[in-house]
Amino acid sequence: MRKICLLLLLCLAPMLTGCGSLYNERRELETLRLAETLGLDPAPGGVLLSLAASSGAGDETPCCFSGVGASLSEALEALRRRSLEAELFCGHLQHVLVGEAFARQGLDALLAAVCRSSDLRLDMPIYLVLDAAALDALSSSGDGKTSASDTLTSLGRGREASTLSSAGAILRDLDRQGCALIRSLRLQPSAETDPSVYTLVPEGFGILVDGKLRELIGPEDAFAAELLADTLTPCPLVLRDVQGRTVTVELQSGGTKLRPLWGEDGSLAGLELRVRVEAVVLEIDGFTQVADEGSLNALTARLEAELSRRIGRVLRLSRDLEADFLGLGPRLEQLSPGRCRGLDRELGTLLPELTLRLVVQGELRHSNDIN
Amino acid sequence: MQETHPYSFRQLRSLVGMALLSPILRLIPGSAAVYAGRAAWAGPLAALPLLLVYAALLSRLRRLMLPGETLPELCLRALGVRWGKTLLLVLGAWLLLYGGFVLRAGADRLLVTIYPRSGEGIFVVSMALLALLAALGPLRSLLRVARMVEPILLLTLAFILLTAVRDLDRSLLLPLTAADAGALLRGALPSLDILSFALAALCFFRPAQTDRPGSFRRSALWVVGLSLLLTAVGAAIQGRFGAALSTRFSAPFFALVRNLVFFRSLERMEALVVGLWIFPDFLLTGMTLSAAQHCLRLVFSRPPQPGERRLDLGNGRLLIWLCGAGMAALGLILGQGAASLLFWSRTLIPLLQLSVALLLIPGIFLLGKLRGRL
Repeated sequence: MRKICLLLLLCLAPMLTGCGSLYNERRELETLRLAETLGLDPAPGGVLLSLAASSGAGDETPCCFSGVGASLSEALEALRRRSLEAELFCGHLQHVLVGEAFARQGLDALLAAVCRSSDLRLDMPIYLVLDAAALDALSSSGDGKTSASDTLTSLGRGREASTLSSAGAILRDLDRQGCALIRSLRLQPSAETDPSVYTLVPEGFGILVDGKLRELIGPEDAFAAELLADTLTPCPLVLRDVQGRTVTVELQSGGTKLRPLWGEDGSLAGLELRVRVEAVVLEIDGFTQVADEGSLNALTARLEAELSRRIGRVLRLSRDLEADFLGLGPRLEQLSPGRCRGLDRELGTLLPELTLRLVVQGELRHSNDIN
Repeated sequence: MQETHPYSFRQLRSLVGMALLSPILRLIPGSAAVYAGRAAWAGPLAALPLLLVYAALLSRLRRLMLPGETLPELCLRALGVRWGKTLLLVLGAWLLLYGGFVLRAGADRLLVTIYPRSGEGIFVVSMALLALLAALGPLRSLLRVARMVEPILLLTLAFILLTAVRDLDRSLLLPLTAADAGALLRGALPSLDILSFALAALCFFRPAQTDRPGSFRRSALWVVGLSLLLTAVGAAIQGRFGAALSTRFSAPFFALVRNLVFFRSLERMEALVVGLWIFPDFLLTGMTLSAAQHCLRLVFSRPPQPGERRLDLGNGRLLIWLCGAGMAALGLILGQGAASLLFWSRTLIPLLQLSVALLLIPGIFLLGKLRGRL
């Protein structure tokens, strides 16, 4: 009996080699084109899905395919039919680009697909393309050798890495607060001198409310949103000193401390936001020194005023939209769990009635003065 | 069940513990998160007091067993032949139903995670055949498999949990306040379901008498360990996805594995991990089939004897084949359609399991005591 079993097992062994036609999903690695970026735009009666594939193992240039369908799956099937020669492999998708029009209709279909699909990862960043379709961004960015996927990969490694809005983070925030931030990009010529080559440039954030794009945060206020969300990454900020000279400081680190202001009846009356920023002086017009206490204090005051102005704008936006896209609610709950459970409404809807007290504290740690 | 070669309580715990990994990863925290929201991860800890009471009761029951006796034999002794056999018929049918459901759920997991274009039939039938092969032989084979796969499965699980801890979001787990108490108790139900099954399963098998099978301390320590394991799994998944998002995945644990990056370079390991989880399915179905055929053979007064040959059809062993076929058939017909499978998984099976574990088995003990037969 044992010998018969062994013989049977030996007969079955060839099935494990992966050769022949035993597996209908078998594909040769060198013929595969890895789809890296998924683009989504609205189309009449459905969705326009585009995929940017890498150059592959051979000498092929990056390519872009698209398909239209009533749903994501149907559009993907239409795309596959168009790209039969290319042997597209979608199991290694790295980024998702959504056109502004698609985002305004809502990301629910995409986010639901992320939860269901075995190809889409939750840590995959989702970007919003402003004033352009995702298909345009995928097909027209790059110089023929590089593609939009390369730009997005660089973005993922660079300054925007820590503030990328991944599918998982968006889903989590939409579940928790009903709104979320999504990083926005703009399609622009890569150099002023060569308008024929386009690239994707980081812009700011889009604000998703109930899964739909409602408002935008411009590039000048992006760092303020990052500060309030405690995800600041170093970035330059241009100020004017008391003499009217241009001073560039680099915001190196910072964060926001939240303190609830409770009313006498136990209700939430307001919020105090203490923003702390550490910066260094990068550049000043001329050979001026600012290392003396008076100059530094004056510059710090300018820094604090500028930060207050920009942070105030983001907070006003949050209040106007009645959307807690900065995640203040969950942080408040960490501070006063018992009292926050007693609130009858979400923080977002409470924001218009709350007193918001903003305290900005800047510190210039180094002036890089010439000695 | 009598065995030619006695086994230790530790071996038995390994078998049941490894078999449990199948329902743990199916129900935690998805099902608990539906009932308890953010408090779901702490559900296993909330279930612990009741589980310890249950462990004490079952230890007492095991101490009342005569040498060579297991729960089915004790049931006959406590309730008499007529009622005892009726109850054994119910227990046997329940175990077959549970085994069939495990086959179906295991097949569904493979479809969802790795083979979306396949059918569940091939997975149900092949696993049922493996379980039949295990049930035809002595329990020792299953115990050996459990001991062999235990380090692999536990190391894999520990590695995944440690990697997941890095990205844990504390605000998705805490704070828990007094207002969460009700939700916490509701969230304890899936853990109670899983762990009460584990404790009850220990009574269907008989370790060597010299190994103090009725020790409460060892059962209690074991169930505390399992509770902590369930808590860790729940916290790792929920701390990464949040309670609401966890409920959207059909297999939250494998969604967690799919989204992990190991050492910043290794990803998409879910196929390997799902592959490993075939072992708990095999152990669980093998174990339930063994227990079911034991109950049903006692109904037909054909108790299992030590040293039975695998392909021998005498002494009621034909029932093992019939049970295997029945389990496979149940696996094929149960939970047709997503809504139906969800209903079986989240409502019907836990309800039946809790009824058997918390009503039927303590009922045997109480009736036996009342009738003065225990």
